Amino acid sequence: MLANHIRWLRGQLPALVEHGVISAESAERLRAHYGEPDASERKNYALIVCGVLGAALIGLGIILLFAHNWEHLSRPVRTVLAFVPLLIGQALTGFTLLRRRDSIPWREGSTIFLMAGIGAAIALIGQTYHIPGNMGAFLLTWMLLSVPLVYLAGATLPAVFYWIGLTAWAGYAQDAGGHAVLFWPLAAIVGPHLWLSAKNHPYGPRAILLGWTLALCLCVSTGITLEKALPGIWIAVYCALFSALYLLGNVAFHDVSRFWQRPLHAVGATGVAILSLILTFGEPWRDIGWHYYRHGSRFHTWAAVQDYVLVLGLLAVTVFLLVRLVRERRYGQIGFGLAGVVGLLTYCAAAQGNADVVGVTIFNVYLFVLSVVVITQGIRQSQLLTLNGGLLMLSALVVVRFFDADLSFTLRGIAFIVLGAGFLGANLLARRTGDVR
Amino acid sequence: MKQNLTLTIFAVLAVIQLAVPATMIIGRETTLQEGERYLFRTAPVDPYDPFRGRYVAIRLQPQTAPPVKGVTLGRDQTAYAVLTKDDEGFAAIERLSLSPPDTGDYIRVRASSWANNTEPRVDWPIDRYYMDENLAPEAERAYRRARWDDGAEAYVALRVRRGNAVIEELYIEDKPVAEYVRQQQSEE
Repeated sequence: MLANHIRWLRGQLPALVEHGVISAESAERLRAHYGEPDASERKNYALIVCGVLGAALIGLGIILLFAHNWEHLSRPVRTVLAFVPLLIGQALTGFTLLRRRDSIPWREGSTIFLMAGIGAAIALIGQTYHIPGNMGAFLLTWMLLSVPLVYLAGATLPAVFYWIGLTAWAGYAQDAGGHAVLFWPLAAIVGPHLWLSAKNHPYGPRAILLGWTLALCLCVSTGITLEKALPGIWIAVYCALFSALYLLGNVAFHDVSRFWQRPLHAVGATGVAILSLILTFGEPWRDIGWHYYRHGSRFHTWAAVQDYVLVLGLLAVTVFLLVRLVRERRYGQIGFGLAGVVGLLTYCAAAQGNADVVGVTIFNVYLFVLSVVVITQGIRQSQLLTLNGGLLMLSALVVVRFFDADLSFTLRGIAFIVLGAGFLGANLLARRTGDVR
Repeated sequence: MKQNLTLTIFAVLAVIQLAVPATMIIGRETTLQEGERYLFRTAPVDPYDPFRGRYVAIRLQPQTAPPVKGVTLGRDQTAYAVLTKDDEGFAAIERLSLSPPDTGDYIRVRASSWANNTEPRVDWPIDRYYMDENLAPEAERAYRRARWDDGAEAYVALRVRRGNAVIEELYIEDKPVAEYVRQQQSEE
């Protein structure tokens, strides 16, 4: 149980005893059962942060000392100095594995220092010998040499930077006219570490940090790695991605309610809302489908297969999780989860003809219905965050439609006043519902 | 037992981490020590590589080569530029070969042509010279000023060996670029 929860429970016990809800003996047994909240937990986080910051600052300081005199150093001296951060990092990591294996600050700090040292060595050698630029190859080499540290030291920060570095590599690889299909198997290398972290402590800092990194990197890397030979395929892929993230977050991590503790849920829901709003415009639906298939030299037909695999794979995950939610009768969470199905069906229908009319109409209806469902949930459960999220979605939809339509300032002013009044009224209603309960 | 295995794997990983930058060095250092020296005319421009520092982008001359008889090269096709020296001592391309030649100095390049018997465009594997980040933009400014006022020439000294080329120095008006820039700064 998290320390915060234990502290909350211990704080509630005196009032519960005073009001006769539980006896003093029961309160004492609860105190004994859960024990003192781990006071060292906060201290450990501070040590970890300080350890990592200290390692990073020392590394940067060493590099800056070199940089000051770099121009005056001979090539052999530069070559030797290029290896110094790497060797120090290896020594620290070796010492950690030998003597400080149980210390999280040592594991995280030493591996991050080593990871920086690897990049510095390759970069400094490249600079010393004026090696031609290939940023993609540099990033990929750096990441592949660093990733084993995740499992050797059980460290999470190298995994975080690995995903970020891999995402950057995918960008460079695609930009150079190549492809980044390998992103997916390479990213999956850190999958077992994420799985173990989530399994052991699903709401612990490791799982949360990895969850946020994964969710945000997927948002960026999915768009980068898509070959996009089939115009508009990104619509189906991103709808499926966000709905899969949302559903996974709800199915696997539903014991906490704080937004920041549920990265998959947060990114998935936000992604569905924003993407749906974008798809209520006609522009994304223009020139999509097989009739506009791209055959240029920058488009690799075999790499485009990845796009179709992504759509079908993400959709399969979505449907599987939707069925599970229905079986568990958790109907309130289906709305966002349907985005993947709606996205693919709409894309297929729109690609047949009149794409902008079909796509715009369906997503306007979908977003409207989703907003109303979320607002209703927020009122029923007295959850102000949910309620206001739904109101925000509905307001955004109404506002953009008003800007589309050719209406006078007076009418727009009246509409915004009505919207604002609706916000206030719904919040009051939700509070009153909570008070009645 | 588990700790021994972890340490063994880490030791292997450490060797690989050292070997990657080491292999970058070995071939190039051999080329610098034993390779033949060639001077290439160039025109420097100043961009920025965020990970690897400030550099002066250089575009080696010549940019085209004699056509390969009876062959139309594709786009960015691997070829080998066989080098010679012109009357002024600068490097020139004697011919392009589609396989490593048995004799002579050559550099592996990428060549493109669009029709038979037209001069293929050559992309050299050298495109940058790293400098102190305070000097790099000044180098570019000094070069442009000198070229406009005095017709000054910039050229790169490369060491060439078995298809590989490594930069030895970038010169402006026969002076190493860092020395040239400092001189310009002291004269201002």
